[in-house]
Amino acid sequence: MVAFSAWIQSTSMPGFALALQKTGLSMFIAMTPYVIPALQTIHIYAVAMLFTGFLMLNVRIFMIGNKSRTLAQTMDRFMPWIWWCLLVLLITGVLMAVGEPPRDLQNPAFWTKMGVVPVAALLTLWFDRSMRSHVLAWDTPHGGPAAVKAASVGFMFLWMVIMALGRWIAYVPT
Amino acid sequence: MDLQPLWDKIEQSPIGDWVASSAAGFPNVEVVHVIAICVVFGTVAMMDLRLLGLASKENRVTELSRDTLVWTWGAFGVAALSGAALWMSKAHVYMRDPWFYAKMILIGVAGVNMMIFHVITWKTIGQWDRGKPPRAAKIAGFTSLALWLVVIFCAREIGFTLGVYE
Repeated sequence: MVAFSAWIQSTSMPGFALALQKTGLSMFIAMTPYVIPALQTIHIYAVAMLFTGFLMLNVRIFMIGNKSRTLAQTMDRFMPWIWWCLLVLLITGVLMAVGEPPRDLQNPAFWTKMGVVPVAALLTLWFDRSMRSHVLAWDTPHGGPAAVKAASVGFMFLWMVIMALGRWIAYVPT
Repeated sequence: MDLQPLWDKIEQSPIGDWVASSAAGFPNVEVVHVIAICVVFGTVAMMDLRLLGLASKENRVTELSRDTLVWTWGAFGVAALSGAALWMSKAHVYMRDPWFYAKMILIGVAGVNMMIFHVITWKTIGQWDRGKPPRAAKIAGFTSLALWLVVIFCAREIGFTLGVYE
């Protein structure tokens, strides 16, 4: 993280962060009381709903709950929820970065998170499509195939890593 | 009554001292706390939205309750333990922060709301398990959702005000 931080400092990012900080939108977000805590709160609501969506999908894939609904019905219930939450996370995340550019844009934890989030989003897209094209075959009384179970648990782990990186932004020195 | 000696003792306990003095202690415990709170909020919101008739309308309320409650309580236990560890590291600072009191009181009110719902409204679940919840269930769901939304805002405010009231 120290080497990564030093590398960020050697790029044009610190200058860009300072320029961004002087824009009207950045100053509005930073100076208006409660805007940053409110954005962070909405960000947490969205990640909570997204994570719980994956949790409930896992519950059904492992057949430990939601057994009265088919896998397809469970997918229809939670995947749109997950995509909408991702959109809210993107919007609030951009606004938070605009509101506190030096804190975020010069932060190695922030950029690590930004590296992991697109991977998680692409894997979610792949998961969504794969599940939908095999949803009948994979809906067995014992739950989905081992690979699907592993992928589903992997998503939970990936989002826990993303949440951890998000929290570490506040603690990694820039 | 001066409780400062008590807060000092708590902060000097092995847990309080480790969380406060270890470089990664506080952030890592906070990560656990945030993930646990996310599961609590997410599962509670899922149930509340069903009670409000806004989501999971095809699910039986009893089934959704069974599927979510185990996660809600498990995560709440983790959140309480990790939250206690965070509190022990700076007990005297937390005890001067009004947002901390607001968070704790609202969690208590959410607990009472949940208890009233399960003791009184739940008795008639057989009549609305698959259908539209009655007004009392909707009120309980709305109250719970509103309380937890504010609890998370208070929790975030603590991060901005810790030490301000010293």
